[in-house]
Amino acid sequence: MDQTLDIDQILREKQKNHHVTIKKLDLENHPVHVIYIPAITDTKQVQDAILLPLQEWNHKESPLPHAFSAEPLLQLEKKNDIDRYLLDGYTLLFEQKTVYAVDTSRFAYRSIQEPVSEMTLRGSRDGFIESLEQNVALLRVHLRTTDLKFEEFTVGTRSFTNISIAYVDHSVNEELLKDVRARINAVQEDYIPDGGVMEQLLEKNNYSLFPEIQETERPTKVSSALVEGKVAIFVEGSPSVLLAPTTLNSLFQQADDYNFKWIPASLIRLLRFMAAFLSVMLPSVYISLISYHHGLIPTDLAISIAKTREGVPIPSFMEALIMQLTIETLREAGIRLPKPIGPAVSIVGAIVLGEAAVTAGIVSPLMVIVVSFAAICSFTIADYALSLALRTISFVMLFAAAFLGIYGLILAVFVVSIHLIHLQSFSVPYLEPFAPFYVKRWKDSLIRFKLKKGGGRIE
Amino acid sequence: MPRKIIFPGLVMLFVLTGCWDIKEIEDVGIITGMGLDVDEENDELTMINQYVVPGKIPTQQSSSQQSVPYQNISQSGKTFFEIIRDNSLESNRPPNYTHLKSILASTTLFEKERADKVIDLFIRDHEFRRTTPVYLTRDPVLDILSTDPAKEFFPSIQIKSLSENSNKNNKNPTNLTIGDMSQLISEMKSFLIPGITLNEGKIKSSGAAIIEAESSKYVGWIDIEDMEGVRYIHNTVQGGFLYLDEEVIDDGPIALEIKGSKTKFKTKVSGDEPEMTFQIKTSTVLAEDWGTGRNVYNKGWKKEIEDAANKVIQEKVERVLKLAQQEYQIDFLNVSKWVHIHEPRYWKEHEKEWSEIFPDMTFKVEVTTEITDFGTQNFNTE
Repeated sequence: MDQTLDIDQILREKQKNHHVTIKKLDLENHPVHVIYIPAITDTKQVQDAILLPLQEWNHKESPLPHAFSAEPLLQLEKKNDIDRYLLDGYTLLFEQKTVYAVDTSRFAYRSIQEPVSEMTLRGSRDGFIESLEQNVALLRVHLRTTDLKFEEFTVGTRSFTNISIAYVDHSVNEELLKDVRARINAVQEDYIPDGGVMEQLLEKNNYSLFPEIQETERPTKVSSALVEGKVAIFVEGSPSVLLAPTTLNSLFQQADDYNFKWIPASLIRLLRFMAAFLSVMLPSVYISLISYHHGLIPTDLAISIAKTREGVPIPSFMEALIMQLTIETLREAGIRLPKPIGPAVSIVGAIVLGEAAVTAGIVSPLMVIVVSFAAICSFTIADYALSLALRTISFVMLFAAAFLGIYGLILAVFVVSIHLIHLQSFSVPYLEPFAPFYVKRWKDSLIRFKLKKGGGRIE
Repeated sequence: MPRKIIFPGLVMLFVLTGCWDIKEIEDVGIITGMGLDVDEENDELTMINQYVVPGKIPTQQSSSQQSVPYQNISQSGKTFFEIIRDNSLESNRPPNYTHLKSILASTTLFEKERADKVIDLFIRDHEFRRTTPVYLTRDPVLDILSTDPAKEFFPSIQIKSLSENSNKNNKNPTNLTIGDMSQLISEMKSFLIPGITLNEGKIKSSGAAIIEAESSKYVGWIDIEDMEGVRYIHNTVQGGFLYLDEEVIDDGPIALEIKGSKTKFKTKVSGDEPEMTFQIKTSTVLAEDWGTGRNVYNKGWKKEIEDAANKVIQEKVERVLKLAQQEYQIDFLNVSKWVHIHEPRYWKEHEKEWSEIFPDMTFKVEVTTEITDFGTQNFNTE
C-alpha cells in the first residue's frame, strides 16, 4: 500500500511542531530539506556527518547517498516510516521525491547502575537501563556468542515502542520462538510505557496471581536464561527485561546460588523455599491452631498462648488480619516514601505500632511474632511479582483458616496447588520439575547440585 | 462445563459450612487434670476438674505469685458426663480435655464401681486422648489436686511428670494410659494402676493399685518396696539402681547403677502343669562403694558383687510372685500373656481356669548381673 509521498504536505505538517527543526539547503537550486528533532538528536553529528558533506556534494555529479561515506543511508518509502524514524532520532533528508534517513539519535539515558530491586553479594553489578541499544550491548558483554540472535519488533498504535527478542540459536525451542513472536505481533495497544505492561499483554492467564514471565534487571540473569534456552524480551525504555518461559522454580533462583559453593548455596535455597512456604502458611496455621485445634498445641505453649491472649478484645482472626494489613501498609509506605524518610516508617511501624499495641493489650505478643516473622520470610522472595502473589494467597489462607481451621487450610492449599499444576508459561508447566516430575532436573531446584566440571553446564 | 461447577462448588465448601466450632484459645477452659471420687453422703460420683487460669501464671516481670494458677471445680452427679456439663454452671469457660495430662481416681471409687464402667466416658468420647495416664490414690483426691507442686504450676502435670522418672528409679511404676486400660479390660486381665500418695503436703509416687479382672475392682495395694520386682517381671527396667546392703555383701554397702536389663520368658508345659522361667539379664556399673578393701584392678573383683546382686534381684522378684500367688491369688503381673504366646494350645484349653492355675504355678528366676565398669576413679590401688 505504497502511497506517493507528498513532501510538501509533510513539510507543512512538521513545521507546525516547534520541536522539529527543518533546514532548507539550497544547493545550487537543488533544494534538500534536513529534518530532525533536536531533543533526541546529536546535533554535532548532524553538523559533521550531514550538513558538511551535503555542502560539498554536487547533485549533478553523483546521487545523494554517495555524499555520505560513513553513515548508512536508508531510503524511506512510507509515510509511517518517516514518522517512526524521526521519532527514533534519525535525521531525514528530503531530496525532491526521495526521503533518506541517517541515524543521529542521542536519547537522554541514565548511566549503568546496580539494579536496586535485585541485590546480590557476588557477581556482576551492572544493570539494564532504559536504552534498548545499551541493554543489548550489556548482554553482549556477558554472552559472547554468534549464536545470540536478535529480532526486532515494533508495537504500539499511537506511540511506537521498539521491542527486541533475544535467544541463543540451537538452545532455544522453535515452538517457543514462534509462540513469542505470535504473542508480540498480537499486541494491539496504544502505548506501552514499560516492560511490566508488556509482560501482562503477553501473558495468557490473566486471572492467575503468579507471574507467567519473569522480569529482571540483571544482564547475567538474562544471559544464563538464554543459555538455558529461554527467550528474552527487551522493551525500549524499560530497564526490566522479560524472560519466558518461567517456572516457579526459576523464580526462586538467585545469581548468588551459583557464585558460592554448592552445599551452602543449596542450604540457602532450601531456606528460601521454606521461608516462602512459611510466609504464606504461618499466620493462617497459627490462627487455625488457636481458634480450632487447641489440642494440637503442646500444653505448655497452649497455656502461655492463652495467657498472652487473655484480655485481647478482638478475635484472633481479626487480630491477624489487622496485623497483616498493617504490615502491608508499612511495606507500601516504605516503597513510596522518598529514600531519606524511608527509615522513619520502619521505626514508627516496628516500635510505635508493634510495641504500643502489645503494651496496650490490643494485640497479643505472639501474634506480633508470628506476623512479623511471616513478613520477614516474605522478604526473602526476591521476585517482587511472586512476592505479591504469595502475599495475596496468604490472605486467602487466613480467611480459609478462620472459616474452617486446618480443614479450610487444606482446601485452600488444594485450590492453589491445582491452579499451579494447571498453570503453564509458554507451554511449560509452571511447577516443572516437581510436577511433572523430572528427577534429573531436581539438581537445580530445591537444591543447587555441584557444577559439572569439564564441559558441562547446569541443566 | 465442569469448571463452571467446580469453582462455585469450592466456594460453597467454604461459605456454607461456616465457622461453627471456632473457639478462641483464651475462651477455652484448658483442663490439665481430673480427679474421680465418690460422694459417699449422697451416694454419687464426684469429679474434680483442674482448670488452668492463664492469667495467674507468673511472668518474669511480676514474679510475685498471689495464688495458684489453677482452679479445681469439684462437683457430684450420677454420671461423669452430667458433671462435665454441670461445670458450665460454675465456670464460664467450657472444659476442654485435649490437654488432659492425668486422671487421678480414688481407690474407694474403684472399690465401689467397676473399672470398665468408670472409664467408659473416657474411651467413648472423642475429646479424651487415649494417651492420658491414670493414677489411683488412697488419699483424698481433692487434697492431692490442691497441692502446690513448687516446680510445676499444676499438681496434675506434676503427677504425670513423676512417672517420667521411671527410668531413674525402679520403685516408680510406669505409666498406664486410658488406652492401655481399655485394652487390658477387654482382654479380661488383672492389672496395676500406678499409685500416688500425699506425703507431707507433697505428691509422691507410691506403689500401685491392683485391679482384679473378673470383678474389675480395686482389691489391694502393692507397696513401693515391691515395685522393683514388678518392673523386672514386666520387663520395663531401663535404668535405676540396685542397693546391696551389708547382709548380702560383707564389704558394703554398695550401690549399682543399672544400665540396662532384659527379662526373657520361657514357658514349659509338663503334663498339665505350666512352668515359667524368668531369665533376667542386667548390666550394671559400680556407682557407689562404701566398702574399704576392694581393689578393682584385681581380677575377679566383681564376682562377689555380681553374685550378691543376683541374689537381691531374685529375692525381689520372688517376693512379688509370692504376693501375687499367695496373698492375692491374682495374676496382676500379666504372666498369662507369655503362656498365651508360648503355649497357645494349652492357653486355649485352660484360659477359663487361669485364676485357679496361676496360684499353683511354678516359677523359676534366673538372674545374671554383669558389672561392666567401676567408674572414673578408685581408691585402694596399692
